[in-house]
Amino acid sequence: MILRPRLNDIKIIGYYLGRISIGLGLTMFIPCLLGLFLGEINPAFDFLLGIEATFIFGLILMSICFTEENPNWMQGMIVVSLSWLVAMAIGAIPLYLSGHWKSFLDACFDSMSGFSTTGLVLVQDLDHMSFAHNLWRHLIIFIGGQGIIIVAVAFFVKGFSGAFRMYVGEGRDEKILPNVVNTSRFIWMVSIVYLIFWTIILGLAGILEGMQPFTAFFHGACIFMAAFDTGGFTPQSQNILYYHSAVYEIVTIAIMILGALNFKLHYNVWMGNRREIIRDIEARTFFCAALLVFFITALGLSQGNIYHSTIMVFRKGFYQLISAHTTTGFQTIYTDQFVKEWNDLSLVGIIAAMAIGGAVCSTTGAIKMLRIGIIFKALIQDIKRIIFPESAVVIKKFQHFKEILLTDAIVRSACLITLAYLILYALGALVGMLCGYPFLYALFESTSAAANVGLSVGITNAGMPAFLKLTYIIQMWAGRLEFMSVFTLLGFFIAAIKGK
Amino acid sequence: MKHKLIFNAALGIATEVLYAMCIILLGYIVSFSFFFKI
Repeated sequence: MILRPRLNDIKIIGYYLGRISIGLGLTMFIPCLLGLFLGEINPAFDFLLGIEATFIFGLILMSICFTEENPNWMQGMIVVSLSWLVAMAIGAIPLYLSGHWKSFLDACFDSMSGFSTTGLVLVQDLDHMSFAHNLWRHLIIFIGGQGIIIVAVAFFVKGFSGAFRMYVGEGRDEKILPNVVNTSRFIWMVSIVYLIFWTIILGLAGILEGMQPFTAFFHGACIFMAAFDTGGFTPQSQNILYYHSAVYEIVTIAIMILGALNFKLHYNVWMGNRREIIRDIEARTFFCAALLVFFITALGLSQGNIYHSTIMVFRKGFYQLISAHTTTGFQTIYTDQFVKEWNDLSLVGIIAAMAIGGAVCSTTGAIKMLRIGIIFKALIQDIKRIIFPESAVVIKKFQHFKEILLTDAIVRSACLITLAYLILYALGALVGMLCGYPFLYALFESTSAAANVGLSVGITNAGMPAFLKLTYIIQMWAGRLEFMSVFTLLGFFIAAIKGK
Repeated sequence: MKHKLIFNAALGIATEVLYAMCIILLGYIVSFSFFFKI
């Protein structure tokens, strides 16, 4: 028997949703202050209106739903799934007011694309956007990459016992430190240390390429946020191709790879356990998978005879591959080139890279390397069981910060999430085909949205059907949250209708 | 103690960058071998 949700459930969900909304509203002060500092008065007002709307929404929810109870598992999961939808709407307000988006749905699309670190865009005339709005686009990637709940727990909301439930709901089931608040703060510490380090390097690279110092460091900070949080937005419409710089490309490849690593691996390596980077199943899987899928892509590029020098195969082929594998979405080629120059085999290599993704407890999306590694190990274990005598006991272990026994429960969990992702990729491709796009391109764009990548073959544009925009928004949201909290929200609605 | 933490973190950053550079180098080698059909 399904129990209908009680009023108290709704009050707890509403109260924490309000608190998180206010926390998000406070982050809008950063682009607002930048706008005021640079004399961008109209953009600053866009953010003031956004802050006002967010505060009104948050305070109303908090006062109507006031409670001192902590959320349980179900309530925590629902708060997470709803807070990402609320964040999308809140984040879209200043974007829409800027006039660079044709409709509020388009602004919501880019907002969800940013928060989920996807990188697909519907923005118009990006090259003439204000610094304040551009900063906000990249800041939402930075917030979404770490996790909205992580931001709220680390900075704005005092620790509460339901915090861990929300942390898990954001697709992160690995605690780095015993306390979720400390875990959140460590994740932010890694990000801020790298932000300073790589912004200086990218800023200097920009100055060497002839950019003005302020612009060079602003672009450096934005590119870092988009690369480390595997988002894929850039301040210019031509993406990374705008810079025409090999240094920029190599630095961004390095940042993308670092962003695709597990935060727990960062913790271990930073605390002195440096050998973990060559022992951990995820780091090993990433190393092997990146080379394997690049082999497929390079084979396709070689067959097509597209690039005529090693450096071009590397700067175009390998760059796109790493961008896809880390689910970032940076491009050093035009979207049209994917369609007109790259052959099917090279696109299949990129789709496979996008589908696999980065590490768990990182800022990446997709199936994740831990699950791919586990499934691969389970496959080997089963083959051994067949080959070895029936009396032999086959035990398989894998290294993930400690030696873990490969049990059926672990394999089942990895297979279920993998299956859910494959279904999500296929459903998006089906909708794309219903809208009239060829199968391979529809699958490419759908995988890009659901795996939170952001590479595009040109389907994503302001003129695409609204239904397809909504489909991609749902894919980005479900893909980022890794289904659990989305399924809980669906269950909640079903219980509200059918429950007793 | 604090110095040791900072030293370990700096070495950790260097290790991670080295890991990334290894992947980049191998990517370049694969590009090279494909271009020259090795």
